[in-house]
Amino acid sequence: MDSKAINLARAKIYQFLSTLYRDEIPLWLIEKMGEKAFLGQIKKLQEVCTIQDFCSGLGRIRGTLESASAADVFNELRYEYADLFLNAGCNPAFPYESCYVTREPLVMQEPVAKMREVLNKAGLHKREDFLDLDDHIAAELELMRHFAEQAAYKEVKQDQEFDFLRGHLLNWVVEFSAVLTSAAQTEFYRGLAEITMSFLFNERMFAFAMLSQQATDESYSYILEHMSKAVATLELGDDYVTLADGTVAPEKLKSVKSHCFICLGLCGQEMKVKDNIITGCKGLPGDPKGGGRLCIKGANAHHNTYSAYRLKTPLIKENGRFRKASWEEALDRTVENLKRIKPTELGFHRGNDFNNWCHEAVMSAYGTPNKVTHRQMCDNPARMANEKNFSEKRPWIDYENSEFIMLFGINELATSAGQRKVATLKKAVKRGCKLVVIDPRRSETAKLASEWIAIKPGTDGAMAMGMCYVLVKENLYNKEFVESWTYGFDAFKKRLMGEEDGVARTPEWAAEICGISAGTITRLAHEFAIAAPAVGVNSWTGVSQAPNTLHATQALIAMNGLMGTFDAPGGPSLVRKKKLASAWSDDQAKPPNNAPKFKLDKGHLWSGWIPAYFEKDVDEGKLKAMLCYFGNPVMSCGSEPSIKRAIEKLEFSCSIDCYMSNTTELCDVVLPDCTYLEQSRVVADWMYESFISLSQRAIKPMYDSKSVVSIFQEIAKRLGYGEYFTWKSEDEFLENQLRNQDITLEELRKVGYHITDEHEYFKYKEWGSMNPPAGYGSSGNTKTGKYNFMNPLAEENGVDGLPDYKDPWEDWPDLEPDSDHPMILGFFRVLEHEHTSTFWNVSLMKACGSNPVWVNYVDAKELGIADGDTVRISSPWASVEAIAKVTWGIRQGVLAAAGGFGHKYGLEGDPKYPQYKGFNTNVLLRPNTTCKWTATPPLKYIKTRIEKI
Amino acid sequence: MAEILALDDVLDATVLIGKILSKKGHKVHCFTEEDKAIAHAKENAVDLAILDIKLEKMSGVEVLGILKKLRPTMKAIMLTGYPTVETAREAISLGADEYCVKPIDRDELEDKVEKVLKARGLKSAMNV
Repeated sequence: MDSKAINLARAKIYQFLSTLYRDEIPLWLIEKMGEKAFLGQIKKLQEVCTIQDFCSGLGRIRGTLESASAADVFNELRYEYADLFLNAGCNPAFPYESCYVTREPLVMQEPVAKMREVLNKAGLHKREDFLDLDDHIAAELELMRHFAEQAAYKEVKQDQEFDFLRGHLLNWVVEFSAVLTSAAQTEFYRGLAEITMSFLFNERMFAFAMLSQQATDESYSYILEHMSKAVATLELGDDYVTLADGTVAPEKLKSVKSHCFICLGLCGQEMKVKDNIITGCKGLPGDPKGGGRLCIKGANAHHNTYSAYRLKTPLIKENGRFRKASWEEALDRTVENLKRIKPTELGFHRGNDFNNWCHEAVMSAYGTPNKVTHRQMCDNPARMANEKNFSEKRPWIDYENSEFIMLFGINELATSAGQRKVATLKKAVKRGCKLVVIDPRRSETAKLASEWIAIKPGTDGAMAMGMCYVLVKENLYNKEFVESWTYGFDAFKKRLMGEEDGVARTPEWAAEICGISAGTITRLAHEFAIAAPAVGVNSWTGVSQAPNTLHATQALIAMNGLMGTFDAPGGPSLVRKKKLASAWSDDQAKPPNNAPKFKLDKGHLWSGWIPAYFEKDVDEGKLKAMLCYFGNPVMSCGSEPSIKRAIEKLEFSCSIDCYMSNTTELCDVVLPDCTYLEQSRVVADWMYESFISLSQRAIKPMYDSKSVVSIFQEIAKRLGYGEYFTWKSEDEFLENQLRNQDITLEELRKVGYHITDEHEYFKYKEWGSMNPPAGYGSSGNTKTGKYNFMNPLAEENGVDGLPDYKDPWEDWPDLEPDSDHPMILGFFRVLEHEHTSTFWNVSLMKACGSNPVWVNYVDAKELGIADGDTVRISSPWASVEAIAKVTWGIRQGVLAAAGGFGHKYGLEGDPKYPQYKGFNTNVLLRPNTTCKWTATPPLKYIKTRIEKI
Repeated sequence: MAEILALDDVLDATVLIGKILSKKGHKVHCFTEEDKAIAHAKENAVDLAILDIKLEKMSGVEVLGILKKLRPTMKAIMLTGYPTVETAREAISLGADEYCVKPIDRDELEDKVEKVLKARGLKSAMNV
């Protein structure tokens, strides 16, 4: 073979390999590969080939092609392709150079920029319609084809070609081939890995020979000749598929001012973007929420976007396995099923509120009343208490001016780490403000506190009632505020004094229940009263995720009511957010709400679809389908095995998500969502000041993913409601929403936020109500316009609406700990993770990659458990294995582990990274169980036992 | 300057590695026998091991396993004249940072050694 023939042969082989990696292998190509012309050449080559892996690879591919019909091979390889390259499986073979620089599942790293430089130098760029990344193996192989053709036809010098081979492909082909071989289930892809690695190493030798002007090795020439002849029979054509002619100037470095959406804290965030690649995230200076800070999650938010585990295309499940689908097919399939199933038998589960006005409206037009958010799993008891008793779910305290702060079950330093209020909390403690943290676990915030009160789980209501008793009995409360601005005090006083049932809620009564001495409870009440009004009590999920804590939240917030500290400097703040206008313009038709007034499940107070009852609802024939957006109900809504069974029993399920998860794996259709950095929204927000917060798209949607608005517009169109969802771009709905504000979208883009109202105290005096005035919103509404000791919703429903303590097991007797299961287990949030949504982010997993179970030192000693031991934790309903962390930082009789762990996909599920592994405490929950008042599952009240394995 | 252990059953190969890397200021300890290389690692700090996969008594991958137990933070480059996916898998799973194919190319070896030493702790463990 002469030089031209050799280079053309090389080009053919590069084209062949590029084609096999570029996409799932089309049926026509498998048919061609199964023909004699191709197989004959391959066979001939195998007979004389002396290169071990090349020969073995050919054998494996030939074996696959000869083992079944082309159609069967095609189907098997489609499923395998989805598993390996579209992240439908738990052990993907990432086809990107970026992932092998550090061997971490992270794309869009330095090799992409370098690849773009090489392409530019070669007068090429990645094709717009090749939706995958620049450093995809198919693109790098196609570039080698280009170089080889240039050498053949134009006798171009090959230095640049061999530099690229050595500087790129050879740097990662070993690792990639090893990963592909270990991950592949079919002989075909194992063979492809062998051929690829072997061919490229022979190319290395060829490069040496060429550069030193030596002749090509004869045996290699033979391989080139016969392999290229085989490839020629496939008629792959002349077109390039990943690359196109022409240079594209790189985009300049720019700064995108936005807000973080990793958690719902929404701190101001500034992204550096270079050539459509986010190179870093930092806090947005001046932003009211973050004050220029970001937590570790926000600083690594772009690694969620660049996680190599991202879903890239729609997927459809067939015969229990996923295959790639077009958007048309996947959306058609979804909507056909939505139309077939009664809307009242479909549950819409959404895990976040990104542009929720759109998907809420689409699902209302469709007609399902069964819409849930994460609310029930989060802090519904607190919301139902606070949103009815005054006007806001979480009255964040004005820490800056506080003298005494009591936090029940809030770990501010972990859950709100980047927020400005945490910085002010730290400053307040430093200047001498007393911080008391009530939590069975010594959390980061408890460590900061002046006093850590290690209360028994689920008994906060008793302690709070004991404190309220002291404030009322000793006349320490603010009579003027109570008289003018509260409702239901007399009834509350009767409850405290035991006038209803003969049980006074004294500190001694409380001490028996909560395990905190009466002296401590009395002292804290006195301190609280003395420091008022610069005091505040607040609670969160540490309280809410035990059963029957609606009344407990009322009890502890009642301390604020008794001392009149709402909106006082240093007290809990009243929230007002300047409402945005509708996303629909004045002349745009609004969609109908076709959802009947129908409640799928009913509790004492909360009714609607209660996802913790998912299995029960499916078994009773009440639910037949689910559409899930950015949610992981399997891991978060209740008993994991029970929710999993429920989804498996559905007639149809579809998930819209960025990653494969314990939930998406069960669905019939999976639609790839964008991360928040690839789409935009605007919201009214508050952090002492009221402000408009922009989340601004930093980069174009990656792969074949779409924004949530685009996806729901397509669903609406297919449901017959397309005329109501007509925005042509994000700008259109953003401008509509901003039309009542004194800032334009263009202006907002430059700053990222816009303060509408400065921080003010005692706003309710000006408003004449605890509710914000017209034009402003908050999450709740008090019917009386006052602070209610008596919950008006409960009063209307004829059920107990006064603050109190109720046993967690009152409605579910078998939740009560007993001699078999004497310990209470719950999960806690860690700084590094946001529930279940950050476990595909390698930076966050490196910071926190497992969740040992915290065991009290004394308990561990008695049970013979040492730090680091493998233990079994059992509830009456399931058991799990974990690693013990023996510590004094948790109350005796209590177990706790970080939440969100236990994934079957992402870094935890990937056998390449066995160092990341944890368990989901929710596996141990009682199936079909929630608080009957608020529908919150008892996530932090699971009776268990622990033993060393 | 790094402490480098080079092990190849062909003396000339270790001498060549020694020559190339000594010029770069590294201290290179060359061995042709597995036992002696392991004994050296037991007694001395090793920043980087360059191991041939095909040895006489043991395989280079086995030696890598032993050395990694002795020196878990040690970096490793595997050398082979016959690259196969299977040996690559084993080497990567045992913590090899790079995989070099013979004949040794001076530039490539220098680049890889520099990259591996510079990136101390950069590459994640990967089980394949």
